[in-house]
Amino acid sequence: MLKKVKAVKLLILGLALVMLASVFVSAKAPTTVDFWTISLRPTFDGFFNDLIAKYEKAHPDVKVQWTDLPYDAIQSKLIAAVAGGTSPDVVNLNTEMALVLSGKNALVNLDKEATAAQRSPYIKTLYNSTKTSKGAFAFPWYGAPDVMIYNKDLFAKAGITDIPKTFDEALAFGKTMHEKTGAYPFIPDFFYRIMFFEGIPFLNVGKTKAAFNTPAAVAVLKKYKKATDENAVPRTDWGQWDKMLQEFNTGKLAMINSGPQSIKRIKDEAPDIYKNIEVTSSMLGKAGLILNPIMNLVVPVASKHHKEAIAFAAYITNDQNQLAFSKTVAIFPSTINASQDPFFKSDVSKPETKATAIAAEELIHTADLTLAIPQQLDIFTAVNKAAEAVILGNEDPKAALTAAEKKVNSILAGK
Amino acid sequence: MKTDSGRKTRDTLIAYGFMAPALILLLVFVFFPIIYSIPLAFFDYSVIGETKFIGWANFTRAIQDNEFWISIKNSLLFVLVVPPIQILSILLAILVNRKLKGITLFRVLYYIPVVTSMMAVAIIWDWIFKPNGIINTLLINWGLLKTPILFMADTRLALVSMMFITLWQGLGYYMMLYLAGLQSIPEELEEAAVVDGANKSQTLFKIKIPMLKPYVWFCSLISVLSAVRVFDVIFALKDDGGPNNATLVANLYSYRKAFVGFEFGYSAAIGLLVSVVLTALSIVVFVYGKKGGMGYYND
Repeated sequence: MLKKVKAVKLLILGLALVMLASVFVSAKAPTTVDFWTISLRPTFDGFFNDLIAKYEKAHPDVKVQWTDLPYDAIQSKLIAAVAGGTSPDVVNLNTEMALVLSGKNALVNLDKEATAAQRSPYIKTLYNSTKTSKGAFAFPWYGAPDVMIYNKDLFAKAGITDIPKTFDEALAFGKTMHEKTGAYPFIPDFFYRIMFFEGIPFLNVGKTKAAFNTPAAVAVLKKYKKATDENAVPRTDWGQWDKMLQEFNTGKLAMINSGPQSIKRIKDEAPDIYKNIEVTSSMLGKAGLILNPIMNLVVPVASKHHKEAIAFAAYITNDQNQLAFSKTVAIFPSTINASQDPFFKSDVSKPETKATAIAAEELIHTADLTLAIPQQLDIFTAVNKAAEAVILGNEDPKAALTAAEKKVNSILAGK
Repeated sequence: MKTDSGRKTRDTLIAYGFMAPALILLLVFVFFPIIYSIPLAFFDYSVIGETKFIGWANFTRAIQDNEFWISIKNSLLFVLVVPPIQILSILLAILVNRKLKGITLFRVLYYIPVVTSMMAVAIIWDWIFKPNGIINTLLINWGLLKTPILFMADTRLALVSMMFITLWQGLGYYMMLYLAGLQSIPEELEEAAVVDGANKSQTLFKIKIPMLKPYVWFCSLISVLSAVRVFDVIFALKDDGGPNNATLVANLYSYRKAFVGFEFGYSAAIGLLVSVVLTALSIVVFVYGKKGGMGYYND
């Protein structure tokens, strides 16, 4: 009898424990993945809410909290959130910001924490944009390879019939165009990008010393100095995309090398100019490279859910979802399969879609123009300042590059 | 019946009660960050990465950092805006210190830039100073220029242009202070001087300006400190300190190190070094400028 009572007691206790455990398991709150993006709301609310809903349905243990921030605010908000112990889990950053943060050991090393399958779908060069000597720190997301948009009316007024294929050709007729139309042919890009376009190596193979102080670099700088002195191109606003678009939209600029998405801005802001535009391949330098600035998804080390965050970032950037996103706006996917989809070449009837088709053709020649080292931003700044010293301060090109070389070497030495 | 000491205690408590909100805000947003920046300057601290104690390394780095010295030089150059801003403010104050019909309108007009947001001021002046802005367009149309003046892009002009904007915006503020100073001068002094045969320039140089000296000293002090700490106008117009570091001032450099480069420790060290410069300048202004007012006549 006593044994029976004991057995019943044990059974009750066992059942109670099982029930308690099941209650505990069922009561466990789902993991919240805090997802931050740059300037996607409200335009893409529907697309991303749908994407998130599908993910949550497939992963009932995960809840996604989406926050959208302006480009200028994301870096400072990220710092504040991490300092406050409320780090987001998946963050949209450009390559430059991702590299700076990787240098502070603030981002998850995806070469170590992501699976091979998660790392595999991307175009190799784009995945390597944030790959430093320690590993890769971002999943590349979407890009916007440059195409060349030009104002046919200004070319006609200047009597120029050949649309330039290279920067040098554009520099050659710049003075004529400015004299005849009052418009510049183009505004040069940041000087560090010009160096990429012209095939001037930045650093030595080991990335320990500057390698750009060469006669070729001096010649490029002299060429642009001469062009500015002749009023063939402006001396200011180099690399300032907003200013370029503003000048183009007011008929003061004949060409812009820019992503296909700029055409929508032209159409909305300057419908009269839009009627006169045509699109062709991006102008090239000696290296034949075309700019393809990439947006990435990163996982901060301070995130409390690395595994879930990496899985969600991989989901957002997978083939299917990148292709779907690209169909909603003139951007390009960073995955191999999605980028080869026939959709990108299917419609050339309007400038917007023609630009996408041209960008698809160019893709093989595009790059994010990155050094893949955490000090990249400081190095690019030093090189841009050398150009400013020459173009705006009338310094000797050789002396300016020598000063920049010294600065870059001290940055690389960690001084 | 309440005692005197009871009333005093109550009055003191009420006074502290009124001061408390401002004091709490100051403690949290001013004094705590200032004190916190002192230990921070001895760390390699990025908020989001690892934190390491590195001793004096941030300070030795600053001393060897060419851009830091450029930023200090530019901040000190900015102090050159102080004499013109003070002289013009005094002249404006004298001008509007008249009992004329509609003079209040002029006072308001001169004061409007002070209450205008710096971002709005920056946008307006960016537009005015642009290569195809109003100044260049007019000068070219009148045949006075062939190529536009690059106010913001020429390495020799960029800082001067920023100083001009600061001067334009600050004039009204100092004018009001000087106006208050002028209106506090006892009328009998001026009347007595006139009775004694003093003309207008004599009353100006022998009565008004000496009596304004405490105001000049105070305005110069805050103007010098503001000049060395200049940030907003430059951040709004040239957030990279360009062209070629021509507008890179100390506070902008410190900001960029913290919020662009994530080097908060180094940024704190720069801030402390700048505070040394500020203290030195304040001492100079204190030593050379505190005499004046009625003391001028007592010596």
